Amino acid sequence: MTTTTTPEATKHPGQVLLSVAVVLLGTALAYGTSQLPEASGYAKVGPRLMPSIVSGGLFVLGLLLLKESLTGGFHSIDEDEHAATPTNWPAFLWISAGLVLNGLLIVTAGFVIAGTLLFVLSARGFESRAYVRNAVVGMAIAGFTYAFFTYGLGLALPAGILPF
Amino acid sequence: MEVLNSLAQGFSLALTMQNLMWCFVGVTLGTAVGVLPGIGPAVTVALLLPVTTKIDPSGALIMFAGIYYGAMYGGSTTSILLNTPGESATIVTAMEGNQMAKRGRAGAALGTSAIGSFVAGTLTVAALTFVSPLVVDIAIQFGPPEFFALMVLAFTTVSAVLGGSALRGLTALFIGLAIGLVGIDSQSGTARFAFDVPQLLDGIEVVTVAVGLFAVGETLWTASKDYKTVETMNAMRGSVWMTAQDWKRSWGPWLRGTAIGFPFGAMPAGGAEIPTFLSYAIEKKLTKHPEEFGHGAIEGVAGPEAANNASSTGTMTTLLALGLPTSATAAILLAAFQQYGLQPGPLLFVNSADLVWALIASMYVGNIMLLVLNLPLVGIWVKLLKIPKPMLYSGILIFATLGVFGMRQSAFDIFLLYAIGLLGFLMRRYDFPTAPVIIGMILGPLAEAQLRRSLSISQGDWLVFLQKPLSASLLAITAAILIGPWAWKKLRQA
Repeated sequence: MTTTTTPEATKHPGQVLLSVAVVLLGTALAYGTSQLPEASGYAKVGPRLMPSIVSGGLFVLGLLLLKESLTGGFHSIDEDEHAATPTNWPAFLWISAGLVLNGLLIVTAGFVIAGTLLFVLSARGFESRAYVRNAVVGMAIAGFTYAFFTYGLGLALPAGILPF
Repeated sequence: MEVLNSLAQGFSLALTMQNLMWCFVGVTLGTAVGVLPGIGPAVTVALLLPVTTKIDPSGALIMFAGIYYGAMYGGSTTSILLNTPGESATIVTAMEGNQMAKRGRAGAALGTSAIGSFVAGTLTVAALTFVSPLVVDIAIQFGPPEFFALMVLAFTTVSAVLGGSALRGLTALFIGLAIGLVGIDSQSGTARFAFDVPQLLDGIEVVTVAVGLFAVGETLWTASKDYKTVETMNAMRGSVWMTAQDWKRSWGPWLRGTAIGFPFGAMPAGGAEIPTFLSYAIEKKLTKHPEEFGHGAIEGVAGPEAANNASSTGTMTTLLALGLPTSATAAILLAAFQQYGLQPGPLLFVNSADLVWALIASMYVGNIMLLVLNLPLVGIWVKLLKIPKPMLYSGILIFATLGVFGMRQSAFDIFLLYAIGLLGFLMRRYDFPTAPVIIGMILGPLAEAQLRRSLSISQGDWLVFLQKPLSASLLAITAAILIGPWAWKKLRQA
């Protein structure tokens, strides 16, 4: 990599982004707080008080994090170590897909089917490609918990397209 | 002896068939999730929160507490047999215990940690029995300013003292506080940060946050970042029944570890890391076999394991008597109490004495169950460690969706679970502690209530916190913790 005018800043772009996100979260909360109704009564304690403290706190903490990230990086984090083990994004995406599909399907297709799919996709994220076996194991786990919760505890889970 | 009467009353409730069963289920589940990597007591209790609608409070709380202290037993099995320590409190056990296992002394290491946990567990439950009524007597006189100051101190210690960076710990705490704000304000009825989404008006469920941060975040992390770590398992060799020599070298560390762990857990300073490290350092100093330390000294397992267990009972004391959770699991236990409309703290001992004493009595029983589960039956738990990673983590995700969906029957919560999982992944990546988020979101609304009550009483005068001697001293300690290290650094530079 070529040296730039601010070498420290370019070293930790993730840290800088994260710090900015905390500052923005504090700002957004402060805006939301200003939209809340004013407290009535002379004590001036109402629903705005705590959000003001929290948004102010996040704003200041975000600025302090930003300062750390720009001056040598977050305290006691080994960025070289992270660079040595690059993130396995396909694994990340397999598991993400499993969870998002679960959210989309749990009510319509039912707990057992959505759970089985989640199991197979997540196992794929962990490099397990025995799809048929994983589907059987996943269905066994999801089916057992479904039966236990629905019939044992009386906590109904969505049956979906399955008849039971 | 009023305490003994209450305790006897508690035993009569804890020893009913039904409550014994819940206790057994709790400690068994606790041992299992303590052994399993990727899932801990906090997630387990959170996932089981939906059952509170179906089980009576004493049964559920006995089970949940069993999961909490049972996990302390199970965690040591993993750290002794696996080369990757499970939770942070067992790092020390992993150091010496692993070395013992490598030298064919796994049995003795498992034995001393199980018996040490039992000794610590039983002695500290006795301490809890007698200490908590005293704490209650004092705390019952606290007003809102004292409680608020105590909560501020707890917030500071759990986020700024533990972990690698006070700044990141406090940021985590404030994110938790922000999550706790979402929903309808219980005092004024105002909707805050809900954007008219019905699920957000009800507030964000603690299950979703705990399971998202711990289980989903951890799964994403393990799959995408931690794939290089190869886990090697030590063979389970040697008898768990220790030799006379082992006993002689273990009992001192057990007692000292207990004495160190309990006060650390009971103070709002929380956390099991400091007392385990402290116990390890002390045993290293006192031992007659210093050459063995770092190569599998039994004292280095016995002391920290006892300290670890003692601190968990200490945390229970603070939770029950003051209503102050100082660990993520304790915070979720508090949420479990809230499910039943109960609020831990001094008034709980007055209003729900039966329940409290049944819970305390069940902890004596649970520790005996755990000794049996973890000593003669340890071989069963060792088999859990052989579950392959893809199966283990994918199974955890199914349970995650079960608990989160089961709470409100809403698919929205599954998407929220994933979003919080992403947050957990980021926090893991940049080494932000996650426990302060949970403590912040659960204790935050309680702190807000005390703050507003204090200011209403004082008619808006903030000096009320400094006019009461106790709250003033608690806030002074908080300030010293926050500013102390920074001021010390500046002074040294000058």
